[in-house]
Amino acid sequence: MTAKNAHLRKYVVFGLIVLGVWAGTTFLKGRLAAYPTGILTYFCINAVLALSWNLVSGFTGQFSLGHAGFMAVGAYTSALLMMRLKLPFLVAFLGGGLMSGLVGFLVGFPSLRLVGDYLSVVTLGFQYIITAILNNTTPLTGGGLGLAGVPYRTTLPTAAVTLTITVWVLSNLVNSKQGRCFVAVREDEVAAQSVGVDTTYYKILAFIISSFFAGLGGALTGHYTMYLHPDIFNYLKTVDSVSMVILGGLGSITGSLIGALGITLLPEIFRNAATVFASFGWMAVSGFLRRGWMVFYAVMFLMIMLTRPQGLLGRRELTWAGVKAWVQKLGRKGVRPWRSSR
Amino acid sequence: MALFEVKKLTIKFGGLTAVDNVDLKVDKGEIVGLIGPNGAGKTTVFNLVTGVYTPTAGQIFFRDRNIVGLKPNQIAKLGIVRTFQNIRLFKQLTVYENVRTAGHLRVPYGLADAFLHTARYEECEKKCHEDALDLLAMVGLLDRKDEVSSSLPYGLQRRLEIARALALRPSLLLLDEPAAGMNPQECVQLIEFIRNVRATFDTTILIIEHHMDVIMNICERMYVLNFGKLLAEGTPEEIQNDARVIEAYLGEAQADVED
Repeated sequence: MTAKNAHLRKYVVFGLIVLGVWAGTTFLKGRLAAYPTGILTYFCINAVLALSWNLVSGFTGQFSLGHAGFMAVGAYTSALLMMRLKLPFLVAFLGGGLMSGLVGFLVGFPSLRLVGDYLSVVTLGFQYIITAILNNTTPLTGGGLGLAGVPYRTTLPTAAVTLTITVWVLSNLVNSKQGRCFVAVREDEVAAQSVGVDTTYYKILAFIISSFFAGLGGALTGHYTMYLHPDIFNYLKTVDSVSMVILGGLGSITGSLIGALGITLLPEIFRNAATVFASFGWMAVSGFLRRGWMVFYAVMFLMIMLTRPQGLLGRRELTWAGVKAWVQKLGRKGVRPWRSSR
Repeated sequence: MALFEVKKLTIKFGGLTAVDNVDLKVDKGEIVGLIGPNGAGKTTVFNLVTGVYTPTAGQIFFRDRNIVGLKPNQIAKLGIVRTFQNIRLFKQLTVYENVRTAGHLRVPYGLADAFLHTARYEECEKKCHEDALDLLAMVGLLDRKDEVSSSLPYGLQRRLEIARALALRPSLLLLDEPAAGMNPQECVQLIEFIRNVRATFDTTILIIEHHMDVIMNICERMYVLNFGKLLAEGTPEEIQNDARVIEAYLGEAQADVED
């Protein structure tokens, strides 16, 4: 009985967290200017995308380079469902995710027999195919003219709640036998099979779930920018998610969040720094920051690859208990603010 | 009826017949050895049994069921679990995680339970956690459960790989050179360990080994392979005195040396 109660309490707590996030972000939206609200919204969208890429590449070890393709499927599906079929947002939004998951299955089924670089190339090819299809189905998607008039639905609370649910669902999944099988596939496929892990099944499963969330992230993007164009979902869009995960740590949920925060904030920090320097009259510095900040970006990644190739958190998770222990024993050797997950 | 029986097993790689008409039979509860010079096809037999290769001809029966054509993971699920000649652990995971991952077949909950962490999930995971700790205690790795598996000393990595296989509670355990690279003292511990495993887990063991002192010590019966063919079978004493086996290992005695 008590076990059952403890269990129900977990759901209640999660419900309260979602409500709290909703209320908190609604409050923030009312208080903050459009600019910081926009940054926060982008952080939420980026974090969903980073988490989705992390599931298939960080946890399952299948290096996908086609995530922008799944985003595009989700974004266009959700937008068109609302615009053409007049479906309510929630239905269209989930429809976008489901369609993307279905496409993930169709792509994953044949291509996940490939390993390593070959898989990356196939998924990259998939993204170009999606772009080509979107460019050439003008009556439906507007083709190269883009799809204008996508209803604005991605408010900060919507994005934040989506992120909260994504984090909850994915960390639940990762801490389950399915999650451990994903990791087993990443670690050693032959050994995984020898202990009864159906590697093909788990690879496809990871691919489907990951593309579902990539689709949700894409749909959020579309309903935020109110305009879709095939070229938005290019290779660089995938690289955005990849760099967030690499920065935060392959195979770490909290790492993805930190990575998404970092990559979302960096350009804004440089933009603001440029303005500040300009106000001092240091135009040369300002101009360099404005135009040359990508150099810092590159240097930062070089430094990370040299010093922490596993990312800031590696495959560990940041936890409250870990942070507390770290603060308490700050300075003492061997204590770190993370625990090993799984 | 034997627990496990191989009939006329043959595999050809191009022109090379790596395993040629091999018959094996293992009864429940036995420890059976499989020996032979390098390249005799011992590991290939294991790869055939566990579904890594599909035989060109022949049948493999496990509990009276022909398992030829099943995938490695299906065969593991049936209860035939192997270890590898070159240890294959989940290197970045801890000792505990290695064993717990392998326990996944014994926790029956679905994807929805995993997403939502339902009551069923909690119950199964608790059991899985306890199972893993019990197993680690039994194999003597409990005090090192949080170490990254690749940082363990060699002998313990071997032991962990066997423990990971045992997490599936196999009815037939295939050990591929468990004593490879071990010093005599570690070999003695290994012999003890394998005997304990059989007693504790009520399992049957087929073992490939080059260390003769190990294999002669623990096996009740053994098979000798040479160039893919079955050369001899029998008790350790019979094998030790078998002229063909001596010849295969030490070379032919020349009747007349001309020089």
